[in-house]
Amino acid sequence: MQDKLITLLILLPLLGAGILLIIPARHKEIFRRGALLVTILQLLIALSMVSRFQPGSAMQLVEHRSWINMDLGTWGIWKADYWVGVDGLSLPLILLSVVVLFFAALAARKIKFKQKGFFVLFLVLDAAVIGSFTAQDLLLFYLFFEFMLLPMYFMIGIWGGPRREYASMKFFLYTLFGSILILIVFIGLYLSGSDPGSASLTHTFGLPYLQDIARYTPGAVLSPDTPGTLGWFTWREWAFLLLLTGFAIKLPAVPLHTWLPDAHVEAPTAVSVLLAALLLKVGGYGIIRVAYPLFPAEAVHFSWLVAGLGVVSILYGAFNSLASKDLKRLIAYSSVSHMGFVLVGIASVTGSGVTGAVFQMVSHGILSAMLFLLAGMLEERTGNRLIENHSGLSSRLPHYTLFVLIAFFASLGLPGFSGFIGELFVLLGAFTAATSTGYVSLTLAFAALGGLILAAGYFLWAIQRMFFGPFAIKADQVRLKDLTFFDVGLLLPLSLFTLVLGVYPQPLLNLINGFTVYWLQLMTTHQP
Amino acid sequence: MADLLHVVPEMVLAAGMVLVLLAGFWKLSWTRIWWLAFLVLVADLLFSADFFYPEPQTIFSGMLRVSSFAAVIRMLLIVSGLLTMLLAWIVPTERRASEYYFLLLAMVWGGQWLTLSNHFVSMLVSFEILSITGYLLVNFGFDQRSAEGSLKYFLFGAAATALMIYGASMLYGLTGTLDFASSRMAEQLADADRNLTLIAGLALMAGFLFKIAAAPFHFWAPDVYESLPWPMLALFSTVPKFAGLAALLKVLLSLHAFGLSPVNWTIALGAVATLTLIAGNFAALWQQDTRRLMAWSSVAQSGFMLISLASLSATTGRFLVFYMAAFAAGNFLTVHGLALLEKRTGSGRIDAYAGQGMGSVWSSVALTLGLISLTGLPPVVGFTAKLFLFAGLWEIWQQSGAGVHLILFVFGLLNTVVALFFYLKVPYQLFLKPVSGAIISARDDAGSNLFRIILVVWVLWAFFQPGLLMGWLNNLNFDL
Repeated sequence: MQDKLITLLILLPLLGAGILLIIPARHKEIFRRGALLVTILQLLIALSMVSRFQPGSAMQLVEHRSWINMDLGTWGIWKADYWVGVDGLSLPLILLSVVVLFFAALAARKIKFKQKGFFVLFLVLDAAVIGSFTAQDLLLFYLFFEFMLLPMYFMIGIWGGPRREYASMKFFLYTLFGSILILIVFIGLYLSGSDPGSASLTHTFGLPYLQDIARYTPGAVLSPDTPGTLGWFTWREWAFLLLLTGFAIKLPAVPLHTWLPDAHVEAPTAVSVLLAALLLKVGGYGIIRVAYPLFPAEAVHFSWLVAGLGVVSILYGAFNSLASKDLKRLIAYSSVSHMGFVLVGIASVTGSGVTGAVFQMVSHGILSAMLFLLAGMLEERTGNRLIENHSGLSSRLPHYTLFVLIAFFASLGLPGFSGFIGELFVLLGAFTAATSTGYVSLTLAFAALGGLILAAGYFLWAIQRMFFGPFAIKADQVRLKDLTFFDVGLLLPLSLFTLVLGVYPQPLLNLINGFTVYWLQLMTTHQP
Repeated sequence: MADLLHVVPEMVLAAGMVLVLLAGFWKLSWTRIWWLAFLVLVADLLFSADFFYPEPQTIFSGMLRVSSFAAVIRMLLIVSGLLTMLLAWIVPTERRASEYYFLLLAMVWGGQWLTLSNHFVSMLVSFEILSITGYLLVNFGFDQRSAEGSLKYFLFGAAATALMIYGASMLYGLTGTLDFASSRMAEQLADADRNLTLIAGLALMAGFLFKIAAAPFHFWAPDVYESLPWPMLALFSTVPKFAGLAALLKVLLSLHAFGLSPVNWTIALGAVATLTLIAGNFAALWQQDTRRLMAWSSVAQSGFMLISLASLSATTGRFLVFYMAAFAAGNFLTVHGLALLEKRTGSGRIDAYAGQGMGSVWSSVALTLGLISLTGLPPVVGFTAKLFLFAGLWEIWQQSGAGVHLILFVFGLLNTVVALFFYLKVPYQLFLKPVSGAIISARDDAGSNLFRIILVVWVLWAFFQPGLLMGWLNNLNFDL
């Protein structure tokens, strides 16, 4: 049966972008309202998807149509499909996406010029993000993945801060380089596997097909039975490393993260929110969805590397946060640190670790959106974001301080907020692995634990420096005014989300768990 | 006489060329001559639409060979010529219409012959038609700059042609035949001396490398492109390239002699392709002048096409044709956008376009699409073309196990990142840089809009439905 809800979810923003393109640029207010309308409709669609989703591991709401189908004679048939669906991994991220997109569209009222261009790009990005999270065909996934680059490039480059040109170019080159590595592997997989159910040799990009080892042509380069090596590694190990590098750039993991602080510091608030809350998740999603299930044996073989990258990201990000002078840079590095937990959770290949990693992605999506909104609000009020220029803000901005406290405490993993659940499960998984399979060594697990303490350190220290003590501000333009009704409207729902997920995580955990069970099966049945 | 029926398009074009010359003699107006030349090309296209051979045929006692491959390339050449004509209408630069369009048609004509040629003699003659019209066209500005470009082009061309003739004569000595598609050629090559064959083949390749602006015979490109008006620049980066690549593929397939040749031509071609990619991409990074940028871009694109050629197989030949069709669209879209920008701002330097993107939004967006297609990013056909090209390379590698294909595969893909850097320089200036003076806005005329819409629709449509073009190419008999 062909379900059309996901297609609707992807097409709606594209349609919206098309309509906005026709409207003359002088109607400045229409564009944001149009984008908002689209995101509200998407929220409704996503809710109806949730209501129709049956708990379990299967891919649901699937739409599968033939897209490219070419007969190349002796080379077999080459095909690519339009194939989308959601499961326990995609659905939470879809929900996160529509929520964050809605709030980003709200926050984008601070965009004061070229609104038309901004919201058209915003909607294109919207479609690309949803598409990445739902595509079941590798070519389709790759297209959506690439499609996020150009809108983001222009959004940072046109509406960003003083060093926006440098930051946007760096972002583009890093991520394009990463996606070329991914493309190399996709082409290899494509020509190594085949589609069942057809008489002649049919090459396919279908992810579920390629996850099945029986579908690989014997002797093909990336077929599991091929012993070919290049240098130290087998072909499949190379392929896994390329995929890992490509997605780790997006995630980002240290040492491939250097584009992120620049991009965040220069991007306008709404764009930072999208970048941190959604685009980074595509990296984590790619590792869970593509890299691991396609190369289970290789992934386990390199689990020390994945866990190591994760722990290095956790610690290095945390230390950089401690040293950051700019509030936005602090938050950007804290993102690196938090995404490190995702890597550790995946590397553990345990139920709790992977569930925790996905939970952490959702939680970090909400929290980073909130943190970047807060940083943006500070900049509106004092004209800069340097920590040293602010002190004792709590006396003048009590409501603002309250929300900063919520966001900071939730991020540093205070029980009762969502960040705690995600990191707890990841660490549980890491220690389970350390004591059983050894995929994450005990040292690394303890080091990841140390990241929690560092997180407490940089967040609390920032609070102490900026919000307590005698009131003093060094700023050119001070318009100190506590949160407006609108600001509260942005922050309050996000705070509630993180609180609800922290206090009652069960529904989300159940949803994710359905996927995790299936994922672990994939990982274990294919072990040699 | 029956053989003449196979070259009806060439004869139509030849008659048309005479008419265009006569029109100058009768002092017809520029517009009329343009229409005449345009209609001649349209007629050429219509006549050539009927020549897709289920079985290739050798005609004129082995001089020419008609095949589906030649027919497809011929259509590509004519369509490139037509697009050049349209560009010349949109950005008129040259008042001496009769000679100018005569030479334009002659270039397409030479390309058509070159694609058909099956014998070193016919190949050299058609190669010279292509070259001589080229030398004349470059000099058509009649100023110092075009004289310099023309002289450079001529000297390079003369040397390259000399090398090519040298190579052909050596091959004649080695094999005793000038008919490069004959079985005798293949048989003799199988026993030929390895070093002599290598030298002869490389010398023969020199001429083609010169024509398609590939390393190490690419040095003329920036100077020549700089002296050309935009429509001619577009012509120079398409017609000689396509015809040259098609002929090179034919010649190399026969030199390859079904793998019997003592020389591994894949490695030789791979080396040339690598060199060309490096030269084109890295030199393009430093360019500030749009024409020079397009010149280096043209060199780099030749590198990508050579990669596909290096596998020396019919299926990658299909992908090569697809790549050519994609490249032509991206190239004409880009040239059109750059020409309009230059007209609007009066400058050919990239940094002069800072912030000018809003002056003519659609024009800038179309230009960006063209550049993205040349880079090879979705959602435009340039991506599909590169995807096919590299997937074909992987398949060849998987079948043959020769490491050279893998090296080309990885190296070529990584080069697209470099390409992104310089192609994006233009939209970067247009949209991201703050404007330095006033934004100069312009309204485009209907012709410009039509030209743009056709190409934009094509690059998008061929991305979303690549199966139609590719499927059609696959159904043709690509026996060369």
